[in-house]
Amino acid sequence: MTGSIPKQDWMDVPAVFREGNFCYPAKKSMVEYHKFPNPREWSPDQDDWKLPDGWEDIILNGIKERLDKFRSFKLFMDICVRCGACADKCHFFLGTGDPKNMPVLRAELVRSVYRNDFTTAGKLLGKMAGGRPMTVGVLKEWFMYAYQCTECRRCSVYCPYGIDTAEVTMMMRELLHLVGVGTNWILEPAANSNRTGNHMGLQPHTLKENVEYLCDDIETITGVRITPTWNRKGAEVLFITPSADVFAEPGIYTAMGYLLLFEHIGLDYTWSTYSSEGGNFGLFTSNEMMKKLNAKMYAESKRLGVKWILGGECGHMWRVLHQYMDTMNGPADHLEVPKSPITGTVFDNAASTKMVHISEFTADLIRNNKLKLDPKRNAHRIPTYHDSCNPARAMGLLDEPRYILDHVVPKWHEMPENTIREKTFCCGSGTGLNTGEIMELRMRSGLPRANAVKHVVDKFGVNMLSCVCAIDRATLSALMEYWNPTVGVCGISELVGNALIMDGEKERETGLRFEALEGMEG
Amino acid sequence: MGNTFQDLLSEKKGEILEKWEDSILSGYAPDAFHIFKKQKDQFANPIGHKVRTGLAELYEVLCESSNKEVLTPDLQELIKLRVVQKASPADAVSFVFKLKDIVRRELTKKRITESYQEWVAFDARVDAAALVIFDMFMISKEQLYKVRINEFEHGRHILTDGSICPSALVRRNEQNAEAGGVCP
Repeated sequence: MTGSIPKQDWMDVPAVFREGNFCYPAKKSMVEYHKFPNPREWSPDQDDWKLPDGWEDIILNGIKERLDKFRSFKLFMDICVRCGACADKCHFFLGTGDPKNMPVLRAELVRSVYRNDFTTAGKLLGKMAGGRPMTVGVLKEWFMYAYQCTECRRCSVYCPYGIDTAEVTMMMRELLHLVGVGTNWILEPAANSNRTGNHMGLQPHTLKENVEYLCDDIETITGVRITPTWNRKGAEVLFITPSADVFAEPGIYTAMGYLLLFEHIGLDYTWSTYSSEGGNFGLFTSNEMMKKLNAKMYAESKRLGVKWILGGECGHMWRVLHQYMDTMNGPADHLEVPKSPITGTVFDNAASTKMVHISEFTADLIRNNKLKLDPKRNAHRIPTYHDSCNPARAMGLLDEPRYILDHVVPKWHEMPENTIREKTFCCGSGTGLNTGEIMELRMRSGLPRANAVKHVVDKFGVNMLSCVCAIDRATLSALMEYWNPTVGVCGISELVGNALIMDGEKERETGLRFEALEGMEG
Repeated sequence: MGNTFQDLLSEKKGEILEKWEDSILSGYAPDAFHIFKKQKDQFANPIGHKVRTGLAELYEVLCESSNKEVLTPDLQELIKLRVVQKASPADAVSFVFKLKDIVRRELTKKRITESYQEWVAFDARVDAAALVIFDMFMISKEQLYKVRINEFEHGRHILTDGSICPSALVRRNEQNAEAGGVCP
């Protein structure tokens, strides 16, 4: 239990569930929808989890199958020397002080079972060799700590062996699903995404209308009417972004930034109602689910006949894309290597996936002087930049957002070195942990990030936390409201949109949030 | 010639703060205690940092016989941390009272000339601070609830509570209408 005072060996400390320290379990209907095993009503804080008969064998067979299937899993089970380099690098550990949130120990939760049943030493020596049998207590521990990991991979940066503990968490979650143990806030968005194309379950007309509302606001603010197209065959580019960008604050302002940018450069692009979600909660569920949801992107790009895909400011979409998409659903031979129609730049880095990040695309436009920008319109913002975990660590997107910031705001400030770039701290609520019932836990796990923000607030008067992830935009807003109430949260593209000088625009009196623009009167 | 009570509080500040800090950090598991105690980089150890700076600020206030404001920025941070880490308000503010015992143990090692009144006054300052801290705790607790409500109001709950989505609401309304019920 997070915040408790363990007096025993870690193996002997049970996971205790109480309201507030666990995500609500998946509803029976959601488990049924996905055709996952053991749909039922249950709750983690009840003793009986209503596990299926022979569940221990199901788990052990599941481990065996995955050891054979994923070399990385086998490797990560075997090579850890427990050096401790990762121990104090996890934001969950730093915010809770719970040793089982040390990445080494989190992995040990499953590694101990692996040793017991899959290694000779463990079979012979059991606990002496660090092994332990699979029990209900162990299973409960897995559920507790697999859902106190945001798969942010900060620990892997420090591991001398390159163990990706996020993948161990992924395996734990997959194994738990085999016996019907999962959370609703992951399975329901995944179901929505599968059915209607996005987490929110927004149907085509709703999506279109929401974007039209944003266009109305843009017209009020800038005097420019934008009429984006939907599901248009023959467009050069398919644009895919998290659905939160068209629905929830402050993501909608980021979406207004996209709309302004594309209008500004006259991009031949289309939105899609079928592939209307950048996020992929399959990543938090199972590799099969991830593949299934991700496949929509290529399927839609093929159906529409576009040349390449442009992706918005999403977090884990980019991890799926950069690390798994090509092998899961590629090769995307129906697409071309992305080439900016405005600058002619060929994005060789996306030669395989055929998908370019909006920050790469925007930075290239700025570098080639294709954007008319007035950074003074963001003079009321003093941003810092939060490297969203997945774009930073899973695809190496470190400099492009910074380059954009250099050109769209008069000044911005970095947080301390050990909290940014590849060492960035997670928002604390990724991988489906951004749910309200664990708000206190979210405030703990987000503490290292909030603490670094506080430093630049005190030192430089920072009032805006910019990022390139939809879950960040949602959850950092809550995190800031608690820890640093004077700090807002925005996407990089919002700042771009605010600074863009549009052809035929009227004199701007407000920013994209209808906030008064300081010093713009003259 | 002995020392005054105030002098000793200043003189023994380092030792007292060390023990006070330990009394909080020892609530964590030994591995965590070791890291929170040793790591001095605040960004690599936000809990240790907030405990250290919050207690130091409060100690300054309690050492002064004047009525200095208890609510200080670093202490506020420490209380916010307690809010999100501890379940019960009593647990969260209990650390204040531990100071009395620590000060007694440290000061009685020295020859002091303090009067009974000075002890009583010090205890009274600690008690008064505890009440202020209790208020701070409750205010931060309320703030946490407001964060949750605001998340809901800003539509971010759709991102953070998968149980609600617009199409689900439409479906629910339609089902209610079909059943002859009133739309919520």
